[in-house]
Amino acid sequence: MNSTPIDLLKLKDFGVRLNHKEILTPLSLTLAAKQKIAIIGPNGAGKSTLLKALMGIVPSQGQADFWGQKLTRVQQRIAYIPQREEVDWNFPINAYELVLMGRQGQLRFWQRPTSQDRKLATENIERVGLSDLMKEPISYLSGGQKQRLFIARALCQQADLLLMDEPFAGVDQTSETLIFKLFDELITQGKTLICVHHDLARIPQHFDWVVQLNHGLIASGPVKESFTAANLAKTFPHFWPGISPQPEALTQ
Amino acid sequence: MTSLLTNANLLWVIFGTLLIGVSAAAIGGLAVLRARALIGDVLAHAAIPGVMIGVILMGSLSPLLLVTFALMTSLIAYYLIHQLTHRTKLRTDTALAIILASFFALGMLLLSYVQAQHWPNTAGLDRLLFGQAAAITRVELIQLLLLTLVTLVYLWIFFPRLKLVLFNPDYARSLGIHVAREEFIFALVLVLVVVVGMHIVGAILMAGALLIPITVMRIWPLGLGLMLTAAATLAAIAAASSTLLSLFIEQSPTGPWMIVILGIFFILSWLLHLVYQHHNRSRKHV
Repeated sequence: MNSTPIDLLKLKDFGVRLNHKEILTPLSLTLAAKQKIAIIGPNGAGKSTLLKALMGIVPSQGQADFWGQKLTRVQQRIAYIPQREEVDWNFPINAYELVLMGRQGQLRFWQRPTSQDRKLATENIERVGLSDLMKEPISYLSGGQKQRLFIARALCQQADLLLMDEPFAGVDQTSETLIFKLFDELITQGKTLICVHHDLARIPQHFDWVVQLNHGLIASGPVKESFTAANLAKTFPHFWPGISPQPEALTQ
Repeated sequence: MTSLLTNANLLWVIFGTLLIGVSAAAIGGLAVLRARALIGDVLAHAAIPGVMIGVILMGSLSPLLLVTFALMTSLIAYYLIHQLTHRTKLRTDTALAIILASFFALGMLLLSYVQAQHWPNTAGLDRLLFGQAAAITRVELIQLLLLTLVTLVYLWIFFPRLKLVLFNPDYARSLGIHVAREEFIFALVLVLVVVVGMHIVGAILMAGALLIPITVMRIWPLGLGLMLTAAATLAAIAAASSTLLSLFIEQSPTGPWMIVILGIFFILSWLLHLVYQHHNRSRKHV
């Protein structure tokens, strides 16, 4: 896909153990920049844990380098989009306030958002098509709108890498189309997207690279080469028998 | 009534309760939004053994000393809750219940021991349980003033960051914000408010002063800043009224009055909201 891929992320024996239990089996891989990367695997494979560990949200072992540097040196270049269920949507803030939170990492604890920060928040709400709902309490929004707000908040960070945890879970068709369109725009702007994704049927059409996990790394490679029936069968060994579509159908 | 209101001491007492009402509502409001509604209750109960240990060791009821000891046991309780919820499979409510019951039981045992000794200058210790604003001393009043200033300045400075940490701690961590440190500072301010406030509201009812004001306003679709301001205003009104009532009706403590008034505010707010919803629904049908 890219003529001169840059090493964006390099993992060496990177894993997570919590309370003496292995949550993410150590894995090593290298990912290039300016791509749409999907992480797939069954429930409990450690996909969300991988993203959280990469962002320093959960403690990890092994080595993770972003652009050849440690996370703390490049944290502001990376935006994390958590799962929608992780927050209390009855929290008394409006859509604009939520998006403006994306600027908080750039501010000292005593600083207030500047007019530039506010402008960025407004622009990014418009970018995800929610400018009409800017002043609405977040509890009034639909699932798809909430997801788009999370994306707007991440865009507000002006990051080069976006780590997204199931951004399509429970979103309607309109939101899904809009988000995929936004993905393409971001790639043309030189951004990289790493996305935990469940809808396998969308992988060949919308992603460049796929990382397959199931208690460790099964495969990591370009979609055309790595998204094969054999790898899918290894990634989802208990899923396929008797269930449609079969791996062969998905990969064609 | 006029003579009561021109009484300088009374005005100081009202001012004191008003300050604790504002501080408790503001900081307690944020604790509720972080789904930590009962933590203030636990910390207030955990302060009792601290006060008693202070009395046993130092033999004095000096407010500053008692606050220091109370602060220590409340912080130990906070640490234990944190450890129990993070290092065991216990649910937060179970951990809170265990710590509350254990510290309160210890506090009661120590209180009965202290009372049995008939030491001089230890009368009135039981006002820690239900509060007695009329007994407020000048030192306590200065403490309250300082505490309210600390709380309000803290909330003013940290408000945008607190909002983020309370709403989405994982995202805050992803931005490089030290969430554990922010939560500890928040807990420290909360503990301070609880420990100082329990002299007026009482340890048993302190949770009401922390939680009810925000829940009165939480029913309404308000932004966070406005919600906290309105909650603090309501708490101030309840605090001042409860002081007056506890003075008019002899032998009645301030804490229960304050919670009863806040409870009435809650019921009124809820009823008004039902009317508001009904009105909105009928307008939509028309």
